Amino acid sequence: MVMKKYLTVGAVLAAAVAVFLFFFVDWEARAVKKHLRSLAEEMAWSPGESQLTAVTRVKSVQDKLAESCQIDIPSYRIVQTVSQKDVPTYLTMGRNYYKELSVKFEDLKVESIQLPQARAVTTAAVRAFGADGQRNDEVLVLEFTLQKNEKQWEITAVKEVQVLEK
Amino acid sequence: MTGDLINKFFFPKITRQYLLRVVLVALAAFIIFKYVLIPFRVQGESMTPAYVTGSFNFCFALRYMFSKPAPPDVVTVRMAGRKIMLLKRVVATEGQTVEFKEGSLFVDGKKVEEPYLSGKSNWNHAPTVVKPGHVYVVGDNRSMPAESHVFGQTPVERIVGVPLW
Repeated sequence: MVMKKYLTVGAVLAAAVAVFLFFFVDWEARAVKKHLRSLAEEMAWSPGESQLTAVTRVKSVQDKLAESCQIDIPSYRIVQTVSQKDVPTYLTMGRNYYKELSVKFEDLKVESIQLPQARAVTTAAVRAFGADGQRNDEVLVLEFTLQKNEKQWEITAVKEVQVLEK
Repeated sequence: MTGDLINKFFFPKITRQYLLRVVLVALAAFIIFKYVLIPFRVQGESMTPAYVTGSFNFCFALRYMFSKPAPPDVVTVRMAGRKIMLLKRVVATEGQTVEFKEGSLFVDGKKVEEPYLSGKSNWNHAPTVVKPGHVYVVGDNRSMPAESHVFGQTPVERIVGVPLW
């Protein structure tokens, strides 16, 4: 009898959790955030990094971008359309320019999701050391446009938002 | 007697009243430090000598509930959110013209005395009219080149508050 009571309470709780997850958790927004956080994690390198890790990271960044991605980040003088196949070349150039780099996305917010498109905004804190060893940190607001393609989110555009306009 | 008090302080009786008090204190602390007094640490040299890197402060977010930012207020400007903010000084408001000539600040053509500055500056920046609903903010450290200093006009809605001290 007691066992049955516990089982009923357990089943009711499980059902309540399932209903909550189904109705109140935005799974698409979570997927978009996960995709972007993973991009930030992969956009990192350090002098002691192995060749294998470097190749894996580059491949991972490449997979997160769409076939063609419009990048508009004036702070880094990047205003161009980047093809997915050119990502390794650009990242190699970046690695030659900065001997160490890491990116952290703070205040990551999904502003809108209208399937198959999504728009997210974040503050990107870039911590970098130039080839000459000089620290070159930057903090910028980035707006991402993503497209869902075969159950996978892909970044189609990255735009820097001007917080202060000179 | 003192031992009894210490004992009571560190090992209180867990009553319903005590738990309610703990919840209320936690809730009040959450609201205060999330929306009213936002703690932050200064990183960077753009506001030296007034605010040096590594110093700790609180952003008083209710400062502009009934007024608008005006020179020479020091304000925090939010980026995508409030986790990372810019700390700058307001030098002009909407409709005013801002210009830098040989390191001196001119607002509406008049030279502005800035006692909070230290070090020499050689900034030159063409006259800019501040758009409606915007304020013009600059850091105090003008000894660095203007190209590497983040300044300019920003919408008033981006202003979160002022540092507490």
